[in-house]
Amino acid sequence: MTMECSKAQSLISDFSVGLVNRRQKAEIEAHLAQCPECAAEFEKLNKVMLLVDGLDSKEPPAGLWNGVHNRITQPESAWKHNVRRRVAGWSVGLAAAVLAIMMFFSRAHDTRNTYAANEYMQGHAAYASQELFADQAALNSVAAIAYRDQVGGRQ
Amino acid sequence: MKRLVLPVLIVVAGLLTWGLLSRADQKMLSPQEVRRIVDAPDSSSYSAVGTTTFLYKGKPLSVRIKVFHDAPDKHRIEYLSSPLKGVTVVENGEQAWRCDPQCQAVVSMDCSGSGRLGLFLDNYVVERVGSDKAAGRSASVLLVKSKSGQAKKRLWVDAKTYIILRSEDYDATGKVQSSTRLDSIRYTPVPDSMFARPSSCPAGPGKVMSRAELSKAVGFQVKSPGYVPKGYRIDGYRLYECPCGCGHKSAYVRYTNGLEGISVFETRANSGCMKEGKCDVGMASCPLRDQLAFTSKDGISFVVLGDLKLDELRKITISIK
Repeated sequence: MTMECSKAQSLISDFSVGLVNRRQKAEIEAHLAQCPECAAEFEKLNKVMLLVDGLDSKEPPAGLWNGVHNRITQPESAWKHNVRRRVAGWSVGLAAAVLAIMMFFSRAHDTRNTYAANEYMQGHAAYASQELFADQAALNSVAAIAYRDQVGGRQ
Repeated sequence: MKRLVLPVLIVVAGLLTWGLLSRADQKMLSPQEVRRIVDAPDSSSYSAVGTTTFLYKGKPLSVRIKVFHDAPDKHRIEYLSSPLKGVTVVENGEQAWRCDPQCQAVVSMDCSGSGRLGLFLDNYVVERVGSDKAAGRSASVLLVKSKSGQAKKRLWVDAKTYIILRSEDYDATGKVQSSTRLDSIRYTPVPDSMFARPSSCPAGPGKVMSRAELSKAVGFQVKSPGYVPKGYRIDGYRLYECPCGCGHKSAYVRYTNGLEGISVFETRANSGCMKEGKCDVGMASCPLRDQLAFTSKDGISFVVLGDLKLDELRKITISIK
């Protein structure tokens, strides 16, 4: 018996970035295997995540803040002032929401990548230590530390 | 008199060229000499004490070590100081494992090894650059360089036994990445009990398989990079199980050039080591964070690791198809 579509869809975004527990993960995977609608939804979300992955962080253009400051300090009519204040309020709210979503996703991805990195570094270092002239002592140190980073929180 | 000048000049030039060439020949190790160093552990047993230094979070970290080797292929490294105090790595010729008392864990590792001398000689040269003392013994100092001239390793090799007494590894930018120095060495047999396998040791990791077998084992079509740097050959397709014991499996495609490796790990995009209560560490804590690139394609995540410049790693990552 798998979960219902409504529950699956409420968890699907967390699932896509690896933030569900093992039981939920197994239930969602079972549901996605049976439900083409939810599977399509999940596929769409994955495509969005890939786009987010591809985004680079951009620096604001030089002089942006001076421009904002000049506009704020210019005298203007009360009507214009009210409209601008509302637009500014909405813009700030929207920008904050976008920023929060991006921070959430980037953090989730960073965390997921870190575990992947620690998991795989151990394999990479272990096999590298079998190459000719390998510095086994140093490579095994790297593997041992990566292991501790990976399991450290569970000790 | 004038008629004699030209022949004399030709003879002098010839002698100079011969002298320079013969010196260059002496400097460069022959394949037989390289083979002698590779095979040295097969005939020498020893115990040694030293220090290994490696980069951790971008900073060098040193740990005291004890090394035991029993010819031909039993090897044991004990870490004596913080942060790895108590960790032991043992290889008995059939299997390798790491015991970590702090984590109360025994982690099994592959020890099948690449060790391809032919491939190494295709891509690297070994030069004798001097002599020195190491671990209280006379040593030849050797420089391992890629054929393009980039220094990769410096080795201090025992002049009598050819055992490596000290080594320095350089990264893709030429900086020292890790080093190990033995302070003292005693050539003596080591008791078998030093290499006994603990009863709790898990089974060894998967052996090399075909790409089709690996695809079947992981449940998706295993992909390969369309680009790997010159000199690298495929080392094998393996099933890689997360060392923490969570049961997560990935496809592992490895390339080697005889000295260095490139690892490509592939797993479903939403899987990974997912044990609850995992520690919350940032990317900055990855010891090899400068040697890693990550991407996702068609629902599969790819992690590429190798001692290469980051743009080269990204080029490999982008070429996966």
